[in-house]
Amino acid sequence: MSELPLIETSGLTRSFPVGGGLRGPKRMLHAVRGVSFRLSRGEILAVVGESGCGKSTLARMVLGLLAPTAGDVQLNGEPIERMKRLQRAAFVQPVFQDPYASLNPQKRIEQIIALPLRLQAKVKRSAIADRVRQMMSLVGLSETLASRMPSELSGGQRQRVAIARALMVSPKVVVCDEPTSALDVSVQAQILNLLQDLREKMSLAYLLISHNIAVVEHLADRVAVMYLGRIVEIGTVEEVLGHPRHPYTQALLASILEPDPAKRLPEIPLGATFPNPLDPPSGCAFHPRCPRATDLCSSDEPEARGLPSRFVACHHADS
Amino acid sequence: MSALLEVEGLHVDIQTQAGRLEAVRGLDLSVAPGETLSIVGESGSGKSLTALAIMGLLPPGARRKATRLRFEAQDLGALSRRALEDIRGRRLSMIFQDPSSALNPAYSIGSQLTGVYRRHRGGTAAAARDRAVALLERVGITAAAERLGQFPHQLSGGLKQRVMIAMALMCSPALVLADEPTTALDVTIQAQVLRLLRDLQREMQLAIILVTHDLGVVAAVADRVAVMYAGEIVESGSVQEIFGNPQHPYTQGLFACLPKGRAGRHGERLGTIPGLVPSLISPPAGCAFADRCPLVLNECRRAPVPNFRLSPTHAARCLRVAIPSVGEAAYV
Repeated sequence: MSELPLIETSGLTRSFPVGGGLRGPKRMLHAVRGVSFRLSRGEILAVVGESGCGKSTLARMVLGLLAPTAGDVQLNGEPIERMKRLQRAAFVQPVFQDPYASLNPQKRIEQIIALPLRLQAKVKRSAIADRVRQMMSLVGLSETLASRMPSELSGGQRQRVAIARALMVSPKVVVCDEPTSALDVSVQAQILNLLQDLREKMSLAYLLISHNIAVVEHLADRVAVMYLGRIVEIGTVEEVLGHPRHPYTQALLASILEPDPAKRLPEIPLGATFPNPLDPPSGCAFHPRCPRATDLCSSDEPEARGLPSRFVACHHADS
Repeated sequence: MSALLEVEGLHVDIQTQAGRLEAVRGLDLSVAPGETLSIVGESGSGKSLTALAIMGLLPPGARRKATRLRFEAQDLGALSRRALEDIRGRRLSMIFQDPSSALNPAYSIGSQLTGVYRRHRGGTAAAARDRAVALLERVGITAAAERLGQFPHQLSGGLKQRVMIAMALMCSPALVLADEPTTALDVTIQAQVLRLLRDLQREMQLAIILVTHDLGVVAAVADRVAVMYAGEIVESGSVQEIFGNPQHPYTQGLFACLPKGRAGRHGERLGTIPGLVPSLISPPAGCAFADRCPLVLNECRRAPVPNFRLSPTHAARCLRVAIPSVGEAAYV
């Protein structure tokens, strides 16, 4: 019997109206367009892409913080819009990029961590306090920090607080939106190790939003590559990062600067002009930058070809 | 070859409510014409303040002291403000991390580009404009002439960063200080901007001091590397020496922290550097890394650790380098 996926989205789409001032009519910015994926129990699915590709908008829809314009999100088989806020929060929790902005500066650490459980009705004060201590020790925070304020903590400690807070209600899924981008490499390593340990201890699934391919390769099981609101390629880490088939995925991987002076600067056959999302190119959104583009690419948007778990949306994908 | 820039005994102190913070503590470096020196370090290591101190652009409350600060045979420390302004933007220029805050939002791209040129070179507006168009094209901006009338908010981050590079190069400087010039950019754009900077460097015989935390960027473009920790250079050498044979335990720790390949999925953990950077308000007497170092000796804490030379170009501020019998660092 196949289990229900923890998260399943189909045709998920979100547009934002932009402008509409003196300068002319309102226009639609299509941040996410027809995104479908599944996240299974205990799995780490990474969503990679450059700024403006819609990966954070996608994360917010999965968290129920933003309603889709079309398509739907199901958590454990239940449509997200039919779930109560607390029910949703008990299932999926966020860890955001900037631990300087995501913690209330006027609350003590123990209050910040306690909040998600305090909101879930009928939990005794003493039980909450016990759980806070338990979570702090789990994420490697000394108990002496409980009564401190966020401003007294380092960046790495703050991100541990954000993770402890997310785990208070024992969620099944944690959505990590660039969890280490604001941190130094030595601190990043500690947080990545922690995320890995917690996954094993609490059998968590992560939706990991990141632009850092090395982090994704280190941690994730599967990868979805987004470009201008669409998933252009999805598959296991071995498939997508080992044998990329979409020209954008290939360019993205070729652009990574490895810490190896023998490699020097890569040559990337890629146009530099990132498209204007308010005026997306016709056909395949990637075609103006793509070294393989043909007339077909500028007229027809490519369908996703392959399986839902391993597809490429490109007319000229490598086989 | 004689050095273009020579810095010796550079100190930067910042007055804070808690006391005097010694952000840069006795730093020596030199840059030869046409070479790229990369200063690497984590936040708070003093790398950006070092660049700002060389430029004479320290924020209020920060004080610079140096036994030697020579650029093109002039003593930067002794110059009048006016004489310094004649050098900055002309022979010595800077590229900042965040182009959105470094460009003036109230002036067009064109007037900011031509302004710096006419201030130093004089000449007609038309000549300055030609130079601006030529450089914008050189940095890969299409329709450059039309762009001159645009304002920073009309450009994407990648374009603004290119405009700032063009602005830094308007007067063909001898040395550019680039502080995290590609950190705000996407990876596909980053490689292109770095390539551009390198091509321009070759064309113009430009020396670059590249301040960054990204070891991938360093490996791609640097000739020499200086690793900073707690306000000091703890190791310096050619890019091959630093990446191929790092000797300071902090440098080794930095490399161990980098995620590489699929190791994580097979249950492996990344190396970490335990502990925290010491406070630089009354910093430790000995090695600032001692409390976090897996190979610490009693002697490390007693007195400042001298810089030990390992090759004509490679040096490390670590006692273990002088006492080889202690063995290899325990990082994996």
